[in-house]
Amino acid sequence: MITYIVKRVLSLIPVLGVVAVVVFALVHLSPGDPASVILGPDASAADVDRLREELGLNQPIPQQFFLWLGNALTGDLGSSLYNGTPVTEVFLDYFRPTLSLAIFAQIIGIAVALPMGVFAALHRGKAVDGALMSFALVGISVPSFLMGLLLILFFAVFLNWLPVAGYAPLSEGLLTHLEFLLLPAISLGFIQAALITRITRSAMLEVMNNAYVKTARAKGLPRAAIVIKHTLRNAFIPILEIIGQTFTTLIAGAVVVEFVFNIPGLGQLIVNSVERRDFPVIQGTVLLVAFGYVLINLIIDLIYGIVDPRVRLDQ
Amino acid sequence: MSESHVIDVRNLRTHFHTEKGRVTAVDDVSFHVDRNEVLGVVGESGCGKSVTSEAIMQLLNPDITDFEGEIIFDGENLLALGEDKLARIRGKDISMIFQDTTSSLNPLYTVGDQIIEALQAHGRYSRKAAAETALKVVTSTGIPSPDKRLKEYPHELSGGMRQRIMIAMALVCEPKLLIADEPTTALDVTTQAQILDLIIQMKSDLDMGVIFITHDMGVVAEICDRVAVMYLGQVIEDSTVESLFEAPLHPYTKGLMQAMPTIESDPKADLHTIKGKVPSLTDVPEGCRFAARCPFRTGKCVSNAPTLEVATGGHKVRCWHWKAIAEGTAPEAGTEAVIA
Amino acid sequence: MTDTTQTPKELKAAENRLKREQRSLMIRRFMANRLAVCGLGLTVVICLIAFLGPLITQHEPLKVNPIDRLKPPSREHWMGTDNFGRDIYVRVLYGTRASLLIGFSVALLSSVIGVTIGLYSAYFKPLDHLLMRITDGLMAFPAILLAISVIAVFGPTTQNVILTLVVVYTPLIARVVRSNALVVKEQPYIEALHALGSSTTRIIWRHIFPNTVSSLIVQASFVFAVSIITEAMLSFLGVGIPAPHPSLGNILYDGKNVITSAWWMTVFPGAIIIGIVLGQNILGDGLRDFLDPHTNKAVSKR
Repeated sequence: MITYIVKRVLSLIPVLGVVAVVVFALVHLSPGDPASVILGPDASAADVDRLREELGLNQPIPQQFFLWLGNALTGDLGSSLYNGTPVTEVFLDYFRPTLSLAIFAQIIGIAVALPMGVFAALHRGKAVDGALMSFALVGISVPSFLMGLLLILFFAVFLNWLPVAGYAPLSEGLLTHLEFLLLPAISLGFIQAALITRITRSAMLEVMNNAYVKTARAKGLPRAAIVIKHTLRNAFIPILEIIGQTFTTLIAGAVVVEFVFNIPGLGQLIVNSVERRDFPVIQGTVLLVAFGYVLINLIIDLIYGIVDPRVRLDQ
Repeated sequence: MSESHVIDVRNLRTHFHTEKGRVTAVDDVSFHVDRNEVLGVVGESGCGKSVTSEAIMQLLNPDITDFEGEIIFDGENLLALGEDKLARIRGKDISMIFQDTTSSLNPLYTVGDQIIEALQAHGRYSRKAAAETALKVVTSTGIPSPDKRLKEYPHELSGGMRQRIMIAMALVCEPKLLIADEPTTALDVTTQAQILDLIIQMKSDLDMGVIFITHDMGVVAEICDRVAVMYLGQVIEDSTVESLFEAPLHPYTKGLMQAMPTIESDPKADLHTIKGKVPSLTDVPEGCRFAARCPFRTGKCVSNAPTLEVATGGHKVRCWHWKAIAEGTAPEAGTEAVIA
Repeated sequence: MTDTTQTPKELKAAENRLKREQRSLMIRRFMANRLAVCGLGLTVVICLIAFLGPLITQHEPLKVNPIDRLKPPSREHWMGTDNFGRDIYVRVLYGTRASLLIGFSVALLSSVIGVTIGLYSAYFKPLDHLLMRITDGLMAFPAILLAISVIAVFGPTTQNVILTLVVVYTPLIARVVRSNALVVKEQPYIEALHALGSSTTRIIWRHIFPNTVSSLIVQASFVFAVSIITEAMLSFLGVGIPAPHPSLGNILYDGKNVITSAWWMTVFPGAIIIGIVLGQNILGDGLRDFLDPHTNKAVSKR
């Protein structure tokens, strides 16, 4: 198991390297001088020179890269050009609502999808299966921000039920926090649920063809044990995989859904930063989110190792 | 009907609903198994032998399967039982082992867990007591260092060891009937002999009936007391092993035996093969199902289906001309064209 | 002419006939696949509406008319008007055009690049390590964040949107093509071609590539759909297609501010987005069934 973990962690290094290069290149490959890009076309030559000096732009590119990388590795991603706060601090402030939303949506997604997918697989070819799968097909076709707009239109405007938009941090109480997050989380969780339902169903069907499911029945196990222990647990590996892979779409969705519901999260941060041409913040946000993706997938790889003994032993 | 039958299959028919229409995979199959007896069910792949065994266990998908006939076990018709009652019989009174040991064990659990699970499904055992029983049964299968094996995952064991584990798992509740679906086909010859010995020994230890499904006449000779030969969904010959090997009555059985290499057979001579191929289940011939491939067929064979009739004491055969063939008076009609 | 010899011309004709027959068989099999036909149909209908729809109205997408602000759908304005009094119907159609164009360009470009990367990395081991690590890295970025940053640096133009999406979605194509090509590459006939001295280029493009086309199509239709979604998101956030130009995302952005009073600004562009994506998803499902005939369908006796 330990060699497995070490191998997995080591395999992240090239991925993180690519991530770092891309993020670095974002600003440094820009047409013209990054300093003048940052300061905008109206900046004076003296200002541009000062910023060049400040950002170390007069050094050769590889040196700049390693300087930046070294700083990034120690958690120093520079400071916001807008108000001088360190980027990591700004990021964490705005990341909390996004993370809350993403987790809440993921929970809704999984909680809805697993039973639906299992149910559909167990009733394969029957009307319920057809209905659930058509629903899931429509589900994966409605982008989450659009779902958010439609939900606002329906619940908040026509039925006048929940707060249309806004946000209350966790410090104002869990219920208030969740109340504001409910519609956004449903918007985001809906597409996630549809996706996981489809994967769950097909993974279940695949596993159900395996001889060990027949063995389990031949042993006289109760139906629940057959479905949960000998089918769902085996089907869990592709389901986990899709949960890891969709992390980026989940965060991307969260960013836009937040914008729909006026939640002060990463979406707002990045849109504001684009308007303010606050490059260190944009750069830092992209880097940290990509890092989050890598981290989530590492965790999922490690869960594989727990779920499937073959993984930890074969490697 | 004698009381000592462990299982009594009467006129079993199994129909599948497929995209190509209704297919009858098992057609009017009857046999019984007694305590401490091994019944061999022999036939080529697709003859319905596995379907029959899975019908007894009721493992077939009920949505696409229809049954006719009766399978009497312990005074009850298994075909009429609900899923709950069946689950109580499966693994406890009737157990099954399979050919493919690689995929028949769940890769995510230790083999010990999978045996314990079978035990706990049929009685209130503490985990500790169940583990002890499991160890005892696994030890009795002759596996080396059994306590260590129980903590291992299926992929860490060899095929032979996995089959021993499967057997331990099937026998842990001391069933009255064991169905073995080609349990040695995927194993090498030495391991095969060991597994056959193990099954025979367990049979007498537990005084249980065994239905042994195989396509290998050699295995039949080694392990079975009685044999049912199946062809295209029907039993075509049913007899004791001695009687069958001494004087096979059905032309198909004769063919099967000639197709089997023996020590005495000339290695330079070609092995006998049965001409033609098995017809499709979707297109079952009207008369005798073997007619098209039979060297002794007549017009009667093509138009009228024979029934399973008693030939000699305890030897049944489904053939119009068994007597003439046995006496050597039947003309070989291999060259005659079939009137379809 | 004798009956035993065939002139090259006849051979050619026979070959063509065979090809025609194969093609017509493919078409018939495809038409028998209800899902794929429905998906394709929906896509075609939306394309037709987008490109022919503007012909039957005299409204213009950029014409501001302050008197007619926020009018609900009527005979004059079929989908109502926006906060500048612009006709939503014509704006939605032009927006759909822009979306389809972006989706198509991204799907095409990332297919061309992705196929090349996928095929060559399947064929050359060292290249494979390098390219796959790069695609791993690129897949770590949420498309939308990367797109926003690129646009922040390079400016919000349609080309920049397309280029960024190509960068983000090429790995999706490359991976599928690569895994397919790896399987084909191991086939004995490829080895035989090697032994016969076929050039690498020829083997890759004439023999391996055709075997990857089917899954490429499925994946490209997926990229088409996600590109349209991502573009709509970008425009919705105000960093996609620049403002006065109609795009589905822009209309939704304008509509968001007046969502309590003008439902039509959300519903109509929203319906088009769902329609396009649904069409692609149905088509994708259908194509997968079509390409994988092993998906055995259980037939219920009821």
